[in-house]
Amino acid sequence: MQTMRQTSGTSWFEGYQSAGWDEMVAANGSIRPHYEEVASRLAELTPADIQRRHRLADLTMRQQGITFTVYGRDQGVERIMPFDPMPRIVPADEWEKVERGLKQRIRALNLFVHDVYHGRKILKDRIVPADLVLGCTSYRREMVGIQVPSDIYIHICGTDLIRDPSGEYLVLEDNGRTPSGVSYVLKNRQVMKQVFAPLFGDNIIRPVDDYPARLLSMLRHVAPGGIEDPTIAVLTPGLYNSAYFEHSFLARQMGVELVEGRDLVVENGYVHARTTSGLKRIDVLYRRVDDMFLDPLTFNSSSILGVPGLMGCYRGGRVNLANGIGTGVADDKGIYPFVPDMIRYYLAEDPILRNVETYRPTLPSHRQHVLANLHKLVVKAVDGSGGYGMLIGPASTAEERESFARKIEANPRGYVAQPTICLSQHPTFVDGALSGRHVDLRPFILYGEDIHVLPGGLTRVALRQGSLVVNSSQGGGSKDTWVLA
Amino acid sequence: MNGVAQQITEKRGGAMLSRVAENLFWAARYIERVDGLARLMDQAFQVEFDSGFDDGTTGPVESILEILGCREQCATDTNQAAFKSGQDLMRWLAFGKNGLYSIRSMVAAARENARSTQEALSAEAWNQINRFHLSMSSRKAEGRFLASPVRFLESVKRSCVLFAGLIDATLPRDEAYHFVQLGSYLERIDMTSRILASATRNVLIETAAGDGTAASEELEGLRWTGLLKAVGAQEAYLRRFRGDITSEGVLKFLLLEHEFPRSLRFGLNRCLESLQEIAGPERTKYVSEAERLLGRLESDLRYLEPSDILARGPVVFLGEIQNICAKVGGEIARDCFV
Repeated sequence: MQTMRQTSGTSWFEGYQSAGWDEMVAANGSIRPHYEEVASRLAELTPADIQRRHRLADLTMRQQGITFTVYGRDQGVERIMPFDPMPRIVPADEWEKVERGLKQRIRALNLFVHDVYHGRKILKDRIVPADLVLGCTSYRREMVGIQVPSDIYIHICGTDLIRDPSGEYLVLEDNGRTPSGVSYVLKNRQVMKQVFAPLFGDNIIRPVDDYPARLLSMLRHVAPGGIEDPTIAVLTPGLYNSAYFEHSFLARQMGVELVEGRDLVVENGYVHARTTSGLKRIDVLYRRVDDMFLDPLTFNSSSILGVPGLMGCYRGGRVNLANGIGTGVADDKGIYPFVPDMIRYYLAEDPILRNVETYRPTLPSHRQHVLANLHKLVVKAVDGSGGYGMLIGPASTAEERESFARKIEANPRGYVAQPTICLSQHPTFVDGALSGRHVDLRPFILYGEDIHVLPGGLTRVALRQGSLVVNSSQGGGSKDTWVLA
Repeated sequence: MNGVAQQITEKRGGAMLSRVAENLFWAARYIERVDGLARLMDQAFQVEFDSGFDDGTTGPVESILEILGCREQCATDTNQAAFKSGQDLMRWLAFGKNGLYSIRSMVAAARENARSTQEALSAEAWNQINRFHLSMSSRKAEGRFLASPVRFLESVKRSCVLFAGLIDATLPRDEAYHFVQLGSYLERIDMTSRILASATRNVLIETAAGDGTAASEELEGLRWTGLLKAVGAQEAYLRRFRGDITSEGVLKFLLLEHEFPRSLRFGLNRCLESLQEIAGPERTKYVSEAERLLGRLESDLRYLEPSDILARGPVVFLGEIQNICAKVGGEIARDCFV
């Protein structure tokens, strides 16, 4: 632990404590070079300035309706995601490596999904255990043998990265179904420019606001073959979905319709929207509805969010979906440990970004290790998400560990375990002063004609001291993320 | 990255989602109704100031309940026995929870409709309606109302006008715009006819009970002045008729005048224009029943004289207009929203 002081202006870093990898403050207490500009601008602002601007930023978000809905007692409460004005900065060379690593990963994941639903070479060659893939809850039998445009399944991927105490970027998980959060990336930047302009200084920051245009261009590229001018729409579960703002924001920014299941109908084998002048064909759906709710005829028959017959159109190549159906086999926590092997297998390359070390209780040696070290490990259910079905060893009680041990023994395939990693921390405004808080990073990758990685991504920050949970539903906030040019 | 360049293709065909059209229509209607209600309440306050709050529970505030058709709801909600003054009623009209009658609940409804159509509205128009809702639903709103009802209502009116202004200044004249116009003007026609009917009824009752003296004539004059203020037409009327306020003049101005934006005929023309725009230049769609009903009413108003209306009985005539509004609403829903 280190403390350090700033020399002129407001001494923001007096008493600041760094632990693990600190993004801004090096172990010897000095400001890392790529943060010097921001640090000197910050010294010119007083805590009162910051608080006033911080309030203004919150107000701006609330007035624009940049909210997510939390459901409580009798009615939903709309909340803004807490925004921390202290930007996270990534130097160009560091980002270059991350970007290469992410591109490599999305290529391998797509080859894997295609392989799983076609030749299954990787299973036959025993690189990935077949029972793990075919027994996976998000494996979709209905996808076997189906051709999708350009063989792309995961068009939009949000990959969660963390940094270990040495500063190395590690992949924590891939989100290849319906990753969310990109609207906050764009809005955070907008609000930063409006409210915290003085912090930008002379930094040259790579822009993020071309994301919707690139998303649209990608969606057009993956339209079913032979369509000159495809019609794109965003499919949302509706107003009550917690990410509704994002769905609406992206539709607006792309200039396409935002549709719900009840707006769509299948006629003559094509998907149509009900409009004021009759039915209008839709060629590509950027769908933010989960697989199981897409088509009540094929999947969950009680779903009212879906479109009866959609799956038939998709199988026939008369509509395309982004992301494709069945991509969950690639981002399943049980499959995750095999992604480095997939990269070697399909691309004959070494993985650029490492995984977090993961133990699989199906292997007897791993199981033994996991059961003996539960107090040091994080145990995750392979089909859980959003922090559910998880055991954080160091913070657990003996009973909790005992109950997890029994669950693991009963169903070793259902769990994986990882060492508890101290996430990197970042100076964050707390009660008018800077204090270190843990962060992660979710970059967004688009795969169409080419692969584009949005420079930066969503930095989520655990606002409670020491907390390692950055999920927005658990009180996490976010930061603007600057990739220097 | 030539992908970004190639996507500059125009969106053809004006079709919009039925659900979006319906939501826009209703968002606009609610905002217009809030505007109308704020004006009515403002006027009622002025009258109560003039006459004092000492004449029991009847008076201008009660007539608002009659105009909105929410007397029963108000009675159940507020436990009428407890009424001391029009103030309680006013507060219910501003913040009442049940039914879509209060300013707060109608702004919330407008916002909820707009929220699911953000991508069809402009960001500025959406921000305005969202801010309006946030300020109305905050706890501070009641404090502001109690501190000065008139200033509170002034800010409500301003918010409504700002929404309309932003629609006007930022929306292309496509279907979305015309559904908003249709909602606004249909609501305005409906509201004006209700207000007019209520005032006319009161004048008739008073005239029947009156003795034809100067005092009862003065009361009638006050009624009409109040009505003109309540629909925001007083100044325009005075300029037009040089201060002479008569029942014939008021009917002529609010029903038949085609240049005044709050008159029935003006509103009818806007509705007809929007219906025609929605149907499209090719008129592939059947010339709708909604258009026929409104068109017939418009031609009635074009050729009628105020004396004809007085002869037919203004209350009956205005009642017919309200029926037509209700029918037109149903027709639009059937044609465009399902």
